[in-house]
This record gives sequence, structure tokens and C-alpha cells, in this order.
Amino acid sequence: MPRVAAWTVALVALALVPSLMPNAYVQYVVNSSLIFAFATIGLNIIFGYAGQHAFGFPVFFGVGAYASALLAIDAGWPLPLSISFGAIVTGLISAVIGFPAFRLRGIYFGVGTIAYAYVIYIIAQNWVELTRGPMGIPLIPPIRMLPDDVEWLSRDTQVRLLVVAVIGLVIFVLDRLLSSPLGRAWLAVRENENLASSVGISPLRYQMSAFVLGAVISGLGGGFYAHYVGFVSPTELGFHYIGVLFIMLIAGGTSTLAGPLVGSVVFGVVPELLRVAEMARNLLLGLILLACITLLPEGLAGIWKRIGATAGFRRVFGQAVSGSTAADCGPTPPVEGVTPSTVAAASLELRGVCKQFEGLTALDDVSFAISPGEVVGLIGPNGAGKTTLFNIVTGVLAPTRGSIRYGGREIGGRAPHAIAALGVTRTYQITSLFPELSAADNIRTATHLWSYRNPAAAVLRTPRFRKIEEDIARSVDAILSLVGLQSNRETMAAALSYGDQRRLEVALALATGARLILLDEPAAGLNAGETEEICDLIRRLQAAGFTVIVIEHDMRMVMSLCERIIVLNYGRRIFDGTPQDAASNADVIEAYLGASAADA
Amino acid sequence: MLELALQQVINGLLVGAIYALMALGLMVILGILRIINMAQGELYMLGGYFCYLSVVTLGLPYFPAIGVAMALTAAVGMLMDRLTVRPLLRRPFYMVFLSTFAVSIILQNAAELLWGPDPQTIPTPFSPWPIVIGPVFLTSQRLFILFAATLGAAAFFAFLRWTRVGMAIRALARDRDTALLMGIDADRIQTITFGLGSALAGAAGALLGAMFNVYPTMGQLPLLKGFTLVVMGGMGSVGGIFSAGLMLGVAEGLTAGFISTGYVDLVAFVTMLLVLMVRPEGLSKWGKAGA
Repeated sequence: MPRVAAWTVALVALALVPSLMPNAYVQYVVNSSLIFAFATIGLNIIFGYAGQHAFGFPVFFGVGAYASALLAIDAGWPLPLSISFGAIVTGLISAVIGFPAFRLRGIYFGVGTIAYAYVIYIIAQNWVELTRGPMGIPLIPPIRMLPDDVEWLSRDTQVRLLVVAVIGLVIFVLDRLLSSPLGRAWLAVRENENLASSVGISPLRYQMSAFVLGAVISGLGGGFYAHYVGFVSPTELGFHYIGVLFIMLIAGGTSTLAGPLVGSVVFGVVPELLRVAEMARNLLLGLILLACITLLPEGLAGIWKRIGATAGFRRVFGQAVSGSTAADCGPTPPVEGVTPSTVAAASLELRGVCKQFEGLTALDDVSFAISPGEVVGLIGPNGAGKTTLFNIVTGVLAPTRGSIRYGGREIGGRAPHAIAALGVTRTYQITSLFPELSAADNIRTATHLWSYRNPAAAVLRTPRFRKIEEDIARSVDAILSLVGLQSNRETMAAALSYGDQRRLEVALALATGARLILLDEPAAGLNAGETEEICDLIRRLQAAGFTVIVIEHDMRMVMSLCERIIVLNYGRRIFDGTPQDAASNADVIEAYLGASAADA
Repeated sequence: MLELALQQVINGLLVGAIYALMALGLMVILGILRIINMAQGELYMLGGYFCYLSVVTLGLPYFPAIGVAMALTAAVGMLMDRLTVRPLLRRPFYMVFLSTFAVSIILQNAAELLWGPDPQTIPTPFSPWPIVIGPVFLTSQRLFILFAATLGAAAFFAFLRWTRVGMAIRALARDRDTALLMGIDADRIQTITFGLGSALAGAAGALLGAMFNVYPTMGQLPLLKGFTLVVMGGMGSVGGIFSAGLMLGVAEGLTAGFISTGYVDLVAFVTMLLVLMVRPEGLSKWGKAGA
């Protein structure tokens, strides 16, 4: 385990090397920088891994500091209790803020979190009975681990040992969570929220889990800070700290395990060592932030990785080791059994489905039923309502009227991830993948619904967790070879060729374990050879018993694939039957070629 | 009681009009770039200092000094756009946002280094004696600020509504791709937009800075208040933002008068968060109701 060894060496060095410099000021600077690492690690979870631009998030560091200080002073709790409860209180406050905040979109979310942070700041300034107001809380009881008369280990070193040990534990837990369904879901929500919900990942649940976990870790650091420095004031909740923490994270390297720690130590210690005045130091920090954004988007950890990649250190510090490098080619495996059959095949039934957009009727009283194992083509001229129908069946839109039943259960108006959990998933007309994840990780992420999603089991690596992760690894290999992407398994999805991307989309739908798959123009923009590959894939899905509904404009493809087609025109179902009958149906010909052609 | 209320309403109108100027500057930049310019508060602060320096160091009278402050602030804004926004346009939007945040930190601390942390007073020609209208006390300076801010907003409305550049700004804000296809020079418009937004902030700083004081951190709250107004008044609606500004000012004045001065700043944030809870994407979309 060279990775574990390297981390251990680095952490032990962090804890012990500063002790060689008995200067009290150096000790103070190093310790407080290390304490800031909690806040940057927490920020990294929500901002880096889960990709949510919560600009006001750093306020939770100060919230934890206040909570722990007040629990220790006003409630008289012993420090271990006050610090851990301070972290829990921070988590609760973050949940209260996060739940409404995640309704906001785009820049409104980012600035909404700043507004919340400012509200907390104002409360700390004005609720004097609780917070002591603008003057802050002095004389917070210090951390004491050994009796006062112990002289061989200075108090600073004691604190540092404790802080580094807890940081080590946090990083260990985080590392295990990241390579579990939880971490994959965070990345999925960051990379592509819509697709994430199509494969059964609830965006809100994982945004919230990242927000709250990040806040708990930040709050834990806040507790250490309060009891180490001995004083908290509203300054710790102010804008200045927001800036500093973002500098530490971005300069250190977002979405890396080491980045926040490196950033905190380097940018906590360096400005102090330069011994410049407070104002000039802030000026310097602003310039560093600007320079990092423009010149060093990957941060210090990015440089490290770049060196590592060239010098072969990647093995040690790189990402988690991926699964076996399965031999290429060989016979294509059967579709059966690539995912465990956790959901039963069922029939889909639409009755009187209508959808109106502000007066425009996109779907008008559409009814049909599809039995398990059918491959049905959904065709119609542009604007006929085909994609709207997919959106309604998969929960992206709610129907205005009508009922959609899957396996006898009403699914109309349910959330996409809830519908996916019943075994219904889809692909999108415009290519939709997790762009910055590898092909293999795309598929691994899509196995979310049948993965073992217990975070405690992921941290402890219980036998059941390991077994299911092994099943997932096997399934990923099988699906990769099924869609012919083994040789590109480590390629970033965004870098795949267009044809590979479209097959990977089908692979994702397959990996969810769904039994009903809705394909929205899977062959759009593909050449004849690539189209044939997709057709072949769909035929194999059918042979394995999947139900498939496919929207397609390529009539030759529809005719060769589907034993049944449904035709929509102006939101109405105008035909439902065999492809042969469709070709001679007057309504269909009129819809496609105009009235005069039907007369002729 | 009624006297206090009336007095607070008048004071509130004045502060609200200044917030509205900040909000209009934020709005045009948000419209074009989809980012909040976090340095807008520091541009406001610079407006105050430029006005102060023009009067004290250069010996200019106060009224032309406001113009000088606007011009210099606009220049800083355009420079900021060139150096810290342009190079990042192809990167994720939050990078641009953080970059303006970095500029905010830099400008604030540079001001503190250059001019010190102490509040400075801009000498003005206004008489310190109040005009008494019934129960309400007014100074000529307050009347002037209210008048100037209203005039500024009206001029801005006319500019967006009836000039070619104004039309180009609205087009870019509404649908960037189509605007580009119509041959609008996005680079040039972006520079103008930054200049315009900064000039509005500079004017606000020169006006309100003369009534209170100028100091390096004076821009923080007006920035946030300005943003809440963009959310409450609606993107693209000059009238909506201006009236939201007046309402917020009055609500703050009444809170300060009857509840507590400490919680005045909560009014804006709580109102904004409530609005966002109901309409997560803000009140209205750019361009629906013209400028």
C-alpha cells in the first residue's frame, strides 16, 4: 500500500517537523493553518467533488467555532463533547440552510449562500445575549490533553498531534467514501445533474449530504480553532475568511485529497513568514487568488500530479487504482446477467396523457400500452411531441392530465430518480454523459441503484460492501466489452469519439439495471456503420428480454428493429401497429408527406 | 410617532435610490456575463475616494468632482474587465465570479494601504441647515442625492431603451448567440457595459460618500443590497429595480426607527431569500418588458 505509506509519512512529518522549531510564533502559525485544513476539506467536498458553488459555505467554520465555544463556556461541557457537538450543531444549521438553498439555480444559488452567511454574521453581531456581540467570546477553555506539569511535550505539539491525527482520519474516511456509491453520486451530480437523476441518483439528497458532511468537517475545525486560539469574534464569520478559504482550496487544488491540506499549510504559513503588515497580506492573498485562477486552475496539487504523471509517481499518489485491465476483444458477452435483475420487467401503460405548455398542447390524449420485451419505435415529424412523451414517462416533466402506469403503479409526476428506481431509464437526444469521468467510471456511476449505498459500510469496507463493489467491477467490464469500449475504458467520456459516446449512453442505461429503456434518437448523426452497431446493440437488448422504446428518424432502422411502431403527429397518437401497416396508412403518409401525397 | 415614521421614510427613499444605482450596474453586467461582479462594491468605494481626492487634492468643486469620479471609476472597471474577466471567459463561470471576488479583496486592501482605514469626509457646498417641511427635516444635500439618483436611473433607462448600444446590450443579455449572429460586437459591448456599470457604482459612491464618509470597506453592504434588488426587482427591469430600491430603503428606515438598528441589514437578505424561495430563478427574465 504505497499510497497509505506516503500519506502516513507526510502526516507524521507535518505533525513532528514543526516541533524542531521551538519558536512559539511558528508553532502557532503552523497549527492554525492545519486547523484551517478542516474548513478547506469541507469546502472541497461541496465545491470540488459535488460541484455546488456554495460561495458562502466557509461561514460554517466560524459557526463551529461559536457553537463549541458556547457549549464549553455556557453549558460547561468538557472539550471533547463541546467540539463534537459543535460540529453536529454546525451540521444541523447547514441542513436548515441547505434545504431551501438547493432550490436556487445557477448564480442565485451561489449568492443565496452568501446572503445566508451574511445573515449569520449579522445575528452574531446583534444577538448579544447568546454570542456576546461584536466583541466576540474571550477566554475559551484551551485544549489540554496531558496534565499541565508535563514538560517533555509542549502544548503546541500536543494540539498538533491531535489535529493531524483527526485530519488523517477525516482524509481516510473521505477517501473511502469517494470510492463508494456516495462519492460517485457526488461527482455525478457535479458532472450532469439531469443524467444523474436518470440513472437513479437523487440530486437533492447528494447535494445535501455533501453540504452537511462538509459543514460538519468545517465545524469540527472551527471547534479546534476556538479552543486553540482561545477567542472567537464575528470576524471569523465574515467575508475575509470566505476569501481566504477559497484561496487555500483553489490554490491547493480542488477535487483532490491532498489539495486542501497543501493549500491550507502553504497559504496559511507563507504570508505569515513574509512578515508583512495585515493589509498588505490581504492584498497579497487577493493577488494569489487571481494568479491561481488565471495561471494555475488545477492548483498546487495539479502541478504535483503533472510531475507525478511524468515521473511514474502516479502509482503512489494518483487516483485509486482501477480494476483489472481486461484483455481486449474476444467474443461479445451476452447481455443477460451483466447487471443483477433487481427489478422485474413490467408493462407500461399510458392513458389519456395530455401536456400543455402555456396554451400550447404538446401531447393530446395519448394512450397506449407496451408489454415487457417489446421493441417499439416512436416516430413522427419534428415537434410531434416524441421527446415530451419521453420526458413525461421518465419524470422530467409532469403530465397536465392522464395516467402513466408502470407495473400497475402510477408514475406520472414522480421524480426521475424515483422512476429510475422502478426500472425505467432513458438516453437523451443530445449526447448526455458524465463528461470528465472515464468510460468505466461513467458505467460504474450508473450502477448506483443496485450498489450498496451504506456509507458506514463503505468506510469499514464490510464483506457485503466489497462483494457488491466486486460485482459492480465485473459488471462494468462486461458492459464495456458489450459496447466495445474496453480499449477506451480509462478515456474521459468527453474525449471519446461521437459514435463511442452514443454507445456509452446505451451502456449507462443498461448499467442501471432498468428493464425499460427509452432511447431518444440513439443513431442521430451516426454514419451507416455506427448505426448498424447501435442496431445490433438494441437487438441484443431485445434478445435479453429488455423492453425498448426508441425515437428515431432513420426509417430503415425503425423498420428493421421494431415489430411495432407508434406515430405521433401534433401531439396526437395517429397510428399504432406494425411497420408494414404504417407504410400504407393514409394518416401516417399525410403526416409525413402532406395531404396531397395521401390523395395521390 | 408619525413624525419619526415620515422622517424614516424620507431617509429610506434616499438610501434606496443609491442601492438602486448599485443594482442597475450589477444588472447590466449580470445580464451580459451571467456573473455577479463582486468588485462592484469596491468600485462604489473608489467612486467615493476619487470624488474625495478631486475635491481635496485637486481642489475641484464638488459637482464636477462627481463627474471625474464616474469617469475614473469607469476606467477602472474597464481595466478590470480587460485584465481579470476577459482571460477567463472560456472557463467555468464560477472562476470569473471568484476572479471578481479577488479583485474586490485587492482593491479594498489597496485602498486601505493607500488612504488608510480612517473614514474621510468629502467637503460639499451644501448648507448644513435643514429645510423644515412640516414635521420632516431635510437638507439640500439629501434632496440633491435623491434627485441625482433618480435622474441617473432615468438616464440609464433611456439609454438602454432608445440607443443602439443599449439595444445591443439588451440583445446580448436576452440571447447571446442570436445577438452574435446579428453582428453585435460582443467585445466592444462588454467593455461599454463594464464602463457603464462601474460609472453607476462610482456615482453612487460619490453621492452617498459625501453624505456619510468614505472608507475602504464602505462598498460591502451596498454590493449585497444591490444584488438583493436585482433579484427582487427583476432582471432587466430598470423601473422594477428602482422601485424595489425605494421600497427596501423605506423598509430599512422603518426597521431602524421602530425595531433595531442592528437588524436593519437583515431586511434585504430575508426578503430576497423569501423571494427566491418562491421564484428560484429571480423575479422576471431579461427583456420581457423592454428595458
